[in-house]
Order: sequence, then C-alpha cells, then structure tokens
Amino acid sequence: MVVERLHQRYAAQVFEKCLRMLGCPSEAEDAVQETFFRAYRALHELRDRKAALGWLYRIATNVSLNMIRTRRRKGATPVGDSHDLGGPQRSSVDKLHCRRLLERLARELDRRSLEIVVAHYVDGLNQGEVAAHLGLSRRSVVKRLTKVRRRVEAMLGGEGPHA
Amino acid sequence: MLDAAAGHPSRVLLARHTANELSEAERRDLRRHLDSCAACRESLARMQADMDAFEARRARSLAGLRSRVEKAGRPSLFGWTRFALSAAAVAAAALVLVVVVRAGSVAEPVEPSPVAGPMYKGALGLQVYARRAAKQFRVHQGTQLTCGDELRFAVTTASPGYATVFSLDGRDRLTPFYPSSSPRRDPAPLRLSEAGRRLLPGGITLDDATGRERIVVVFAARRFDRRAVHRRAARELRRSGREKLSASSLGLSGEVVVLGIRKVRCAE
Repeated sequence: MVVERLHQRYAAQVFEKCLRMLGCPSEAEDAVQETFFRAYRALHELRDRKAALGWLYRIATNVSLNMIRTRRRKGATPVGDSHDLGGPQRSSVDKLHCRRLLERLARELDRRSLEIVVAHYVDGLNQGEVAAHLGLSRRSVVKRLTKVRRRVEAMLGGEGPHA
Repeated sequence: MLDAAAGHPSRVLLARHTANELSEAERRDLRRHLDSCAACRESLARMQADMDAFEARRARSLAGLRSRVEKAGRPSLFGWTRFALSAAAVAAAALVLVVVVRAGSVAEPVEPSPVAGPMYKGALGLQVYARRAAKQFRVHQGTQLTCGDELRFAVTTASPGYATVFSLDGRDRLTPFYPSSSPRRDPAPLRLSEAGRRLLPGGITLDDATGRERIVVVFAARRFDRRAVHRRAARELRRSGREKLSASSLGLSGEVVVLGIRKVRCAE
C-alpha cells in the first residue's frame, strides 16, 4: 500500500517536525498517524512522488496546528516552551521561535497565514520556497509575513512572548 | 535550498538529507555549510536524535495507521480535496454557469469504480463524478443534474501531453474548467506530465442555469492554443448540435471526448 511505503520512508521526519511544533512526543506520535491517514485520503493530490516529503510536511503543519488549537480549547498547558522550534534561525522575529507565541498566533491568524508562518519561521523556507511550497505568489507571501511581523511586534510590545 | 536570508539550510532540506533525497550538488552545498556552521550541525544532530526516538514508536504508529485505513475503506473522492482553481477562474465562472467551491465539508462517499463508460473514445477517457447531498454518482451521457451538484473530473491519457476541459451550455456560453484561467489571459493548456488517470484538483458546483450542456476534454501530444481550440469547438458543437467533436475539426492531432448532460430546475 502506497501510504505504508510513505510511512516507512518518512514517518521519522514527520515525527520530528510534529515534535518541534508540539513539544510532546506522545502528541507528535498522534500527529504522525493523523498526517499519514490524511495523506491516505488525499493520495490523488500527490502528483510527484519526489515531492512527497514537502507534501507530508504541509499536512503535518495543519494537523499540528489543529492539535495546538484543540489543546488551547481544552485549557491544557503548552509543553516544551524551551524547545528549539526552528533551528539556527535568522530573522528579525527570532521571538517567533517560541512555541507559546506560535500557540497565540494559532488562535489569532487565519489558516493560510499560519501555514506561511510555519513554513518560513519553523521549517526555515525562504520566501520564494514558501511560495512554491504552498502554491502562492511570492508577493502574497511577503505581504502576509509583513502583516504577521507587525502583529507579533504589537503582541510583544509590552507583554513578552509568555504573556 | 539554502536560506537566502541567512545562508542556513531549511529544516525541509535537512529532512530531505536525512531521507537521502538530496542531489549531488545539494549534498555538496550542505556538506560545505555544515563544515563551517556549528549551529546547523547541532540542529541536524538534534533532528536525527528526534527521528531516532521515533523508532520505538514506529511499529505502533504503522499498526494504528493500518487499522484506521482498514476501517475507513477506500479513499474518498471528495474528501480532503483542495480548492485549487484561481480567483480569476471564479470570476470567469461566475459569468456563466458554475462556481468553483471547496470540497470536503460533507460526509465523504466512496470513489466509484473507474470503469470505462460510454464517454470513452480511443485512449482518452473522461470520468465525471457528481455529489448531491450525501449521494455520490457517476455522470454519464444524458445524466440529469441540478444546481448545487458538485462535479469532479478524472482524465485518462495514454501518453503525456496537453489538455483542456471546458463546458458549453445551451446558450453557447463556454466556461473553462481546466486550466480555469481565462484563455485570453493565459492560452496555455493543462500540461499532463505522465500518462495514466488523474483526478483533477478542485471541483465545480453547478449554478441554477438549466438546459443542455456539453463537457468537453481535448487532448493533444503537442501544446496548443486554448483560445483557438475553444473558439473552434464552440463553433463545431453549435453547428452539429451533437455530442461529437473531432480533433481535426479543431486543427489538432489529438483526441476529444464530449459528455452531454441536462441541467434541470433546482428544487425550491
């Protein structure tokens, strides 16, 4: 079965990504299973097998964001605040690499902006790569990132990321 | 795929590296970067450690996935599909008979078997599926459809090439489905890089216009100009009044399939 082969090949990478976003191994394991199940339901969308990892990453982003939102609704405590979200990051919005801030953004931003934020700040894709990854124009990516940056700056204005 | 802003590789590139999927050039660039960047070496080591931690969970994860897949049955045709047509297409479509919508918000029916139907001709196949409320069915010649029905399209070809899918309604209004952009703005057809069957992305929701309608797929091995093909197809279909069209009448060496449907008045 195609989805099993995808699981055998990429599940560890997807787990690592989900763990980075969620900070909790058991939640990340759930996210892996949900990601591959969704992939199974959407296999017809996968045109190029060589692009499978990027495609799975995108599904994993949405699954993890859903879990973050659900966690907030249930009033659970975010985990692993100190965990490095994005690696040796580089942007002026370094504070974005704080899971708690991502959780705040998950409550406030629309789905598309969140996908862009995760692809850029968490997965470390540059603007052009984000555009290609999500099938958007570079202009639209730049515009949304500028808006997010302003939002984050306002958010962090007096309260700090852990507010 | 090094991050142009700061010269660090993306996590996606590192993940591809761990999956052994980098090209020779990418691997060389990455190796060079890692040799000089302690932060990225650390990042990669951490990624690898987290991936290794998954090994203890792998068997359970796969078993859980298998179980869910078995319970779910065959993949849905409509579920999890993305709205894939452009804003320009929506604007164009709004002028005529359809609007393009999201799919996946309704309970997910099972994909009908891809059996050959009467619309097959030569190696080119067009399969149209409709969903009305919870019911999903295959659209054949003469099938009656109504407003709100959601349609999806699958095209089968024996070779790579180029295609366009469009509809012509009873009032001679032509709507491009794939590609969905206006041919005046973008005359390029849809590129099919491989032979075989593919379910086209997105879907179409029928509006409340009624009457006869013809859905046409044109395929050719060579790239063609959609504007000219659409113009000739509309003229030929109008002239013949039938559900038949030859590629040569469109000035092409290729194949054409026409599926005629009837749109009836919406239930109030």
